Amino acid sequence: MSNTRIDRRSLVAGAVAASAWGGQAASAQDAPVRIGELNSYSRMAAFCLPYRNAMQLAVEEINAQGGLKSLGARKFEIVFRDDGSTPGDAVRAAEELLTRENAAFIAGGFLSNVGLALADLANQRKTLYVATEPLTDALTLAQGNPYTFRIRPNTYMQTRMLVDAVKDKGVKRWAIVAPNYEYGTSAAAAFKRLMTAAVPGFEVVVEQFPALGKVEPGPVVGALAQARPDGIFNVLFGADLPAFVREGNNRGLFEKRLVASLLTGEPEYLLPLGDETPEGWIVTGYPADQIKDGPHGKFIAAYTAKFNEAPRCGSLLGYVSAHIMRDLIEKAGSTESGKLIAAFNDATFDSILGPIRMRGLDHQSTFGAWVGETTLNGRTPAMKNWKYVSGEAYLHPEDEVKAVRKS
Amino acid sequence: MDASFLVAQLLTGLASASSLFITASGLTLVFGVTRIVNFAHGSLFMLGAYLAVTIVPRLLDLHYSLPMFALGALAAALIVGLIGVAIELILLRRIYRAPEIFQLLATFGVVLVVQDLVIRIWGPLDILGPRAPGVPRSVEILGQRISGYDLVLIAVGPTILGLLWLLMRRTRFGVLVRAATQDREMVGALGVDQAKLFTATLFVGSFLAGLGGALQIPFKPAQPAMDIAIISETFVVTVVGGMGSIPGAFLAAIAIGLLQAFGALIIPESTLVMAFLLMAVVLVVRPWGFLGKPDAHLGARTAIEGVKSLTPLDATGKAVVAIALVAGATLPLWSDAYGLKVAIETLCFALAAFALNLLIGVGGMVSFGHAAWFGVGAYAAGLLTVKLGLHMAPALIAAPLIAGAVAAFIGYFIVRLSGIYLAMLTLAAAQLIYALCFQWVAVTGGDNGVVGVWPAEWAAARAVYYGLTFLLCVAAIWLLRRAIHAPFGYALRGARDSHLRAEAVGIDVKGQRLAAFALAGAATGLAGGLYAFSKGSIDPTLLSIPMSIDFLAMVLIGGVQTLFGPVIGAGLLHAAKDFIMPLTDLWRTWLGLTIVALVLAFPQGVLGGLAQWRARFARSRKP
Amino acid sequence: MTVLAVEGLSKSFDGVRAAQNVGFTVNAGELVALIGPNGAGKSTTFNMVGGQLKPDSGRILLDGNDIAGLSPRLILRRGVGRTFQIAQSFLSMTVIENVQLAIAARERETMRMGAPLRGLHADEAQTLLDKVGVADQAETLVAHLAYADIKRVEFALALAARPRMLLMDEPTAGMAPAERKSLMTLVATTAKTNGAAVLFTEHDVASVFAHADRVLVMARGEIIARGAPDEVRADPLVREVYLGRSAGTPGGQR
Repeated sequence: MSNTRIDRRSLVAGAVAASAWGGQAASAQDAPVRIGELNSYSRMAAFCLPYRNAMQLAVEEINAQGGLKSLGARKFEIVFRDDGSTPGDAVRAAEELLTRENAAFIAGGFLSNVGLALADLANQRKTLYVATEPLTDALTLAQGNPYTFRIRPNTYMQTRMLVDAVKDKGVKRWAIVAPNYEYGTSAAAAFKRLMTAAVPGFEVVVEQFPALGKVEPGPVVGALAQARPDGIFNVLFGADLPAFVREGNNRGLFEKRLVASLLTGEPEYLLPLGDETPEGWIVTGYPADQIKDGPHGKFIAAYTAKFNEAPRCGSLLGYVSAHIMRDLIEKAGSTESGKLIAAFNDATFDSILGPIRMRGLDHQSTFGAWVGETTLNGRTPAMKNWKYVSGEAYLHPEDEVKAVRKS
Repeated sequence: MDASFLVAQLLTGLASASSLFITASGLTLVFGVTRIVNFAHGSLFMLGAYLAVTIVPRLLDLHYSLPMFALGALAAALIVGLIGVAIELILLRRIYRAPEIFQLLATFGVVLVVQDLVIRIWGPLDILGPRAPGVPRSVEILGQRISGYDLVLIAVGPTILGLLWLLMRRTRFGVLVRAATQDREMVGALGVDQAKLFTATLFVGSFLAGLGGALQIPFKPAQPAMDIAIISETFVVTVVGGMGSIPGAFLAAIAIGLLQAFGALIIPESTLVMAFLLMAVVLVVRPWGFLGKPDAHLGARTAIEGVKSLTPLDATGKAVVAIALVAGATLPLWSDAYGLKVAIETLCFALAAFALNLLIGVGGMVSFGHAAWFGVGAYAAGLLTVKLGLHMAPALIAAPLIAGAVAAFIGYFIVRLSGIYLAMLTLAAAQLIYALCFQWVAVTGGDNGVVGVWPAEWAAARAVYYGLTFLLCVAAIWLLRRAIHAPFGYALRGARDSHLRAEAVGIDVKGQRLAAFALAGAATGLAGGLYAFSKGSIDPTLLSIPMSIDFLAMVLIGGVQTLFGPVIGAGLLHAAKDFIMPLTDLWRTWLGLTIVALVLAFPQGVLGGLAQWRARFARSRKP
Repeated sequence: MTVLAVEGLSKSFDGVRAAQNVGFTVNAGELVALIGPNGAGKSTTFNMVGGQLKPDSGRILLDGNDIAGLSPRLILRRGVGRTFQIAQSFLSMTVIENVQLAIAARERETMRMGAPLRGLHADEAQTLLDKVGVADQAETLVAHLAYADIKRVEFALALAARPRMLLMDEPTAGMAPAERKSLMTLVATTAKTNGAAVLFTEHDVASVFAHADRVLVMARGEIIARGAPDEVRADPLVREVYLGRSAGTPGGQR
């Protein structure tokens, strides 16, 4: 299932003479336009391998349709690099892509600290960075910069979607469990802030912040149960989630309680739950198995045919991002950073999800998410009662952005 | 908080402890006999879990019963035991003559390979195992619901302890293991086939790791990062319990399980740091752990072979250094911007590795936490620039001073220990500093770190910054080398050669070592500061365990017996990483195999090996 | 003139009395041997004087000042040099570097990070090597030396401190008889010329009676006899607990 083809890299690259900084300078008219894509393909393989698969699918489609038309049908190419899951490795790989591989700009990033480091590098080098996946709010707020644009709905937006879905359920006593790192703690903070505003009498009766990837489910579930909350806001994901869910199921933690759970509907995290999948959690996610119609249905069919499995959330993001980057180059009619950035601000892109706008104010796109409930289809986990929610209504309020964003 | 809740929390804590003990007992056993700090123990644990989620469901399809579940878990553990034997036969056996610490590096190569292997075989998705058949989902105790499987685990831990006790007391193998744990040379002198004993020990230790992994599938999924998650905790258990003591490991696992269970009630974020805090306290107060013996030579004997003798550079050496310096100084003329980038990083790592070898090779103090000083230097430089608006130059002066001061403070506790205990305290200290950087979000930016750490205007050009880095790193290495040739370095080496004699000729061994820590910390802090400015950001990965292992790998690959070995090691490792990473998704496999190959080809390190070859060549040319 | 005066020295390990009310003196220029069967308390006494062990009670007066319980390093600074039963030299260094380091340590130069050790105190070190008879091996690594020569280096290391008092734990163990004699003669001469006091333990009884000015005999933690070699040799108590206990010669007990 892991499509781990060796990335293309011209082994002679080392011998190629120094190329102009930033890579936008004269390459032959018919040479492909390259985009440097960095991600945690080895360490976050569950998300990033499907992501790359879909990007490769998109690239094939784009080139089959005649490449980049505004640039004389030059081919569109994405060069993939592992970011080593550390900012140090990521920044070096980015420099390699920009210098040796002649990448027009960089894209990708999974971990927030990697995303922030790449954003800062882009700012320093005055090169576009399309942050596809990193969720941290800081990327488009306090640490945003003119060269960095984010595709995915950030932590705040996804939390707000969930808050919208649970605020009228009459639940006031909440427990919060989140991994102890930036994503977890900022989701918890956003949840508290938004719920306080939306639900009179909202209170948090217990909070647990186990170390990421090291949750001891017994003590955590015990601590949550003891506080007798009426609702649970869960931010655990990855390996921590199945452990938490099974222990919670064993001990009846979720019985007669409303659970709002971030990202849990994404196949990457939902599928490992198997028949443990609890009924009726309100989640954000991606019900790829149930979308049949329109261009999105076509993408799912094509992806499934090619890779022998349904697309994951990462696949969707990779596919849409590749098309956005193509469209961006077409709109700019150039691969120069200045023109790309000018074209990106407030541009609207057609996508298989419908129109996606890149808000100029904070460089956050309106790429949305599906909000629904978890259920079991036989023994297969699934989402039900879902609907696609565009990010448009969930962006950070403009005044908040203006207050913290420096540039 | 009512009593029934505390009882429930106690029981779940004990269940975690039991599960941890099973894995940790294997590590402590292997360490006790072979003195190998086996990083691959976590990988074996992970393989146990993956094999179990593969085997157990098949068996349960045949017959859904608890014995089948147990059979599946045992089968998985057995396979892992055999894998352990294979690692011993293929890899470790070839390098028993090398310094003990070198085997650590070999096992680290295995870790990298196994990480890729499990994704290859089982795919990247987490796999939750089946529940144990016949075990109730939950049991009500004092009105609190507790997982039925927790009670199973609580029973299994002490059972394993009992079985191990029998194995140790009632079998010849056990007698030999206990003898070897106390005095390895003695067993060799008694004419016992040491190789067989080691193989058997690796089997039992790996079996226990596999069993630990297999038994946790009903409550935690098999997933590709579980090796790293478990290894640091099992280290802590091993050290806190007393290296080599199985009952000690049991007590330590309970202490950690309970600290985790109750600590999280008071400070929800505390699980990050609890285990290492315990280890640091234990090492300071009772260095030999709960049930270990305060056996001076157990600690001392793991001391590494280091720099053997210092001679001034001969003509060839001088020529090589001169060529390297000229090549380095003129690099901007013939390399592209990316080449300079890689060179800057290599220089920073080379300085840090050289400083680490001041501790390891010259001082005989193996540090598992060297990244701490690198990180402190980077954070000092970064925070002073970004938060206090300092310029680059003063920040680069402050970085080594602050790192040196922190190293001196922590070194005060570290230099009172020796051998593996010293190494473990450096690890604990580094983890505590890591936790501080991770958790103190307001100042350090937490795990996101801080961005915007760029060089001053005048040094912004890549070639200029390279020049600055080259100058400072070369100067620092030159000064360190000078210190090593000066009475300071000799006294440090003297303390390593003979603690007794050093004290008896009037060397203040602790003071000497403390100064070495401060000096190495300062030099590494400078490297960290330079690195931060080259990256533009700081974040906790700079002082994480993998970073410390990287430094250790550089020193060992280059060779601890020569002063410039670590510099070569830094260059080789970084070049290998830079070359392999873009080539393939399986870069960890290739990096791991590269490390293993280097370990096998150069058990004295690359430079050590070259020196040996040269000597042999010179001898063979003599008539 | 009394250099070392030990009074009422006692030490127990887990209730076992290793040394009990031990008292003796050593004068300048005098060689005093401390002998006794294994486990008699010689090493315990030795290590208390050298600072490797802390006494439970008693006084160790060096030139009238109590040094009991001080660290080995401070005791060295007061003028006590020592050698060890199992040679403890700096194996990774050359012979002359060993001595240069010892001299540098005496001069409190071990924190110097500038000038190389190679050029420091080379003359003084060479003189010492001449004196102990390993000058021709100056550039050899100690690890490559013959055992007898390592013992000589040990002696040189002890002398480097310019000690008033030399503690020598089995200085000739493992040496051939001729080498023993030559080394002990050297020790005696050095003590006489420098006016240093020497306390040594020795298994080889022949060596003891040939070189010691006085002999102290320990058994079960106590000094049971003392005096000139001839007196001690004749002491029936000594014969009983020491010589009589072992089948052959006392030197053959090991």
